[in-house]
Amino acid sequence: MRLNTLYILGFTLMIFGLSSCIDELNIDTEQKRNILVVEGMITTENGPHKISLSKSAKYGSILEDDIKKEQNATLFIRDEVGDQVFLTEGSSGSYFTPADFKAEVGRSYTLSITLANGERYISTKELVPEVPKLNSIVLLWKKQPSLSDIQFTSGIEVYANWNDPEDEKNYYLWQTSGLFKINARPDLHVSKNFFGNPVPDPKDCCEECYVSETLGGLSIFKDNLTNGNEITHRVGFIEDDGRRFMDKYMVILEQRSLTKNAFQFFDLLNNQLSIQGDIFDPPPAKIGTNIINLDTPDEDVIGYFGVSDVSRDSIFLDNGIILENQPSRILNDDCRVLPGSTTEIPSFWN
Amino acid sequence: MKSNVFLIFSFLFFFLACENNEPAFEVSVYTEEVVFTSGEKVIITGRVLSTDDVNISDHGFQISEDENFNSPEILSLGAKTVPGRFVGEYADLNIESDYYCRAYIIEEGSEKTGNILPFSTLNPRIKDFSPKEGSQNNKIIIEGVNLTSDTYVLWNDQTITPSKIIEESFLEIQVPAPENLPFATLKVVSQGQTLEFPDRFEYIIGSWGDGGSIVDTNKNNNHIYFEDLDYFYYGLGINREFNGPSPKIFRLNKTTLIRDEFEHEGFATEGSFFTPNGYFGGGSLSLVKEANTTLLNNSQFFALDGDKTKRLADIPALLYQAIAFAHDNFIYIYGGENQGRERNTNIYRYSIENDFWETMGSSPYSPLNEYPYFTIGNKNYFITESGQLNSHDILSDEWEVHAQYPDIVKKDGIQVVFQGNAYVGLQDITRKVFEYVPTEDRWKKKKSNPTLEPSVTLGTWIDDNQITVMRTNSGNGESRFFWTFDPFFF
Repeated sequence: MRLNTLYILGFTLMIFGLSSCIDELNIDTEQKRNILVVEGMITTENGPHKISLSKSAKYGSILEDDIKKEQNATLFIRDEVGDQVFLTEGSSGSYFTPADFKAEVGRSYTLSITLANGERYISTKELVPEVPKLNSIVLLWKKQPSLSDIQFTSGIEVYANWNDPEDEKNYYLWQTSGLFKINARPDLHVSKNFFGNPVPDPKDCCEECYVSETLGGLSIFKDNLTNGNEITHRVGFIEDDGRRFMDKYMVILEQRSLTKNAFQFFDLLNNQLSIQGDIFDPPPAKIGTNIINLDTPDEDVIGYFGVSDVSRDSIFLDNGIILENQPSRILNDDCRVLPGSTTEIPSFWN
Repeated sequence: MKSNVFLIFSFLFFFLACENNEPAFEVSVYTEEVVFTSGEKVIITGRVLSTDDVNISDHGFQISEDENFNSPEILSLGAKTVPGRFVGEYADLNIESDYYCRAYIIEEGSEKTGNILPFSTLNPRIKDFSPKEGSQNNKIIIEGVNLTSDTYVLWNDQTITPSKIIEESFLEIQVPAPENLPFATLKVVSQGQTLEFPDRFEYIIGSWGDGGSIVDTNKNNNHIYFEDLDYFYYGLGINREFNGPSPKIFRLNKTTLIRDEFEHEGFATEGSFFTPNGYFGGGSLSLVKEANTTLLNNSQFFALDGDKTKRLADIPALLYQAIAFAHDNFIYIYGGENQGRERNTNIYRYSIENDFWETMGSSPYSPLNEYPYFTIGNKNYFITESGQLNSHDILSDEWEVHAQYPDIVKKDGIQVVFQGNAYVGLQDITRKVFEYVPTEDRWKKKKSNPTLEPSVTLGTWIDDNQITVMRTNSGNGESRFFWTFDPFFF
């Protein structure tokens, strides 16, 4: 009986000990504020280069406001010898360098921002690292695994090939874009009548368009495991959506250099964007920035002012590498309704 | 026995469960980065490192030209209670100097300093200023980099304090009144360092005066004009009263402005060529309209001869709106339209001594005399419809392209050469006048004609070191206004 009492007392103490470490989490909702978001990069190619400014919405249990574009701000980019260019405001919240401005490899740049309300921000110095030239672009057709024999995803995998320099650490970012010709059928255009029923509504123009697109996805790489080698790395995937590969498709690839800090920013951003809500997700993390509020330096800022050297190459896709085409999706409309489309034939197309 | 051990472990678990065994972390300070330097300013970031709140009575940065920080400049940011980043701005540095900086904190009376970062301040530089010509009280923006807060401008020798210094890059100043010179050299002085622009500022100078007026019911345009000592002659051209070419030439006393009709036995023409010294000819015998597919052109050629005109050898081409230049004993003819309305590219030369015409080759394009043209030295200058200034050297037979005319080219303005420079402007109803300086191959803006009433130019002459311009209202006015223009007055 005494033994049982001791066990009960012992278990009680253990449970009390375990539960005694729970602290209440108090979120001070009074301190929530709009956070400045800075997006932009300058490169060694001619401008205009774009920097976008906005203020995030306040995070809370109720929707208090919306994302606001920051207008009437003063921005300038300055290099280490004091040369500086002022940016001019285009559409709201977007600021552009002069068209003839381009960064130089080996120079450091800082971005200075003064918002319309007088708040001042500055980026840390970003040194433009040289990027190795692209040797070639390799394109491979890829059929994604699918449970269905009929419906599957397929497309072109884009690989960059280059010689990584031996004597330095290199960080890379790629941007893939494409240009393709589309044949539409504006004569088959259908609109809806007053009752919402489809009625034929043929259009006179236009059947042939050339569509330019920037493909999404963030592709970055560091050479810590492959330093000094010839590297072929997958940098993008162009999905066959039944339209892109109807005719010729030109892949344009930009290989950009990144600083170590910029790479870490994009890596963490990539990491956080991959969160899907399962147990294998990475833990949520605060993404760093290189923008500092000069008056309240501990203020949170989102985004990164980046600098890059660029090596650019392009290649026409040989349709012979596509082993299985997706069913064609003819556009029954004026082809100019597609974003980035034009009826003007690019000078290099033929 | 087992139960006692269990109880002891239970007690130990209970008492140790919430104990914070974190090791004590010493508060330290780190000089993070020099993010900005200019001529006199630096921005530095630092961090206070701690796992808990801190009790720092002062923090900031020490800046010194000496690596040992003897007598450093102190940039104090005050007390701090939480760890994290801090930023300091200091704007009292010397240009082009090497400095060292480090972050510091004072905790419980003792000072801790961070790592040392070196930096150098930059040298002021100037890039450009704009506009490069203007008048008193105009605003000028000077562009440079690393311009310190004590920067001032030396305007010739006059000191001007900028009304604004924007981001150490732009100075705004106001143009002072001209003193002895119509131009100014600009020097920018930053912390005692003097920087001089290679270009100088030019005042827009010139003075317009009222030269009187006369009444003239002959409403002509596309006419000819020239001068000879005391008289100015104008005539022929389209008479707007009977809508056809006029046969009349008038003579105007430059001093008294008394006008009489001058004896001329040539045909009535419009669009004739003429030289400032009284040689004229060609033109169309009938009214020319744009729709005309053929022209009825005249080959007669005359020279001023005392109280009348003298007919000379006919020009070997039938040309409308050709351009004529006088050089010593020769008259040169360029451009114009032939009777088939094709543009002439032959160059014709007339020998005054021999009363003889010859063809001298061809021009690369065909000018018309409604657009500006003038002669300086051996070169005949033409301004095309697009504003391109071309010249033909009559000795070397070379064609050159010169500085672009700085305004939209219109028809029928002044085109006079005075003291080696050409004065072009007042075309159509515009009031602007520009000076072409051939030695510098550049155009300078002159003071615009002050009248606000739309007027057109009818002719010019040079007398008493000034240019006289005859103008009339752009409507069908019968008054002829005379304006005197001294291009050098300021």
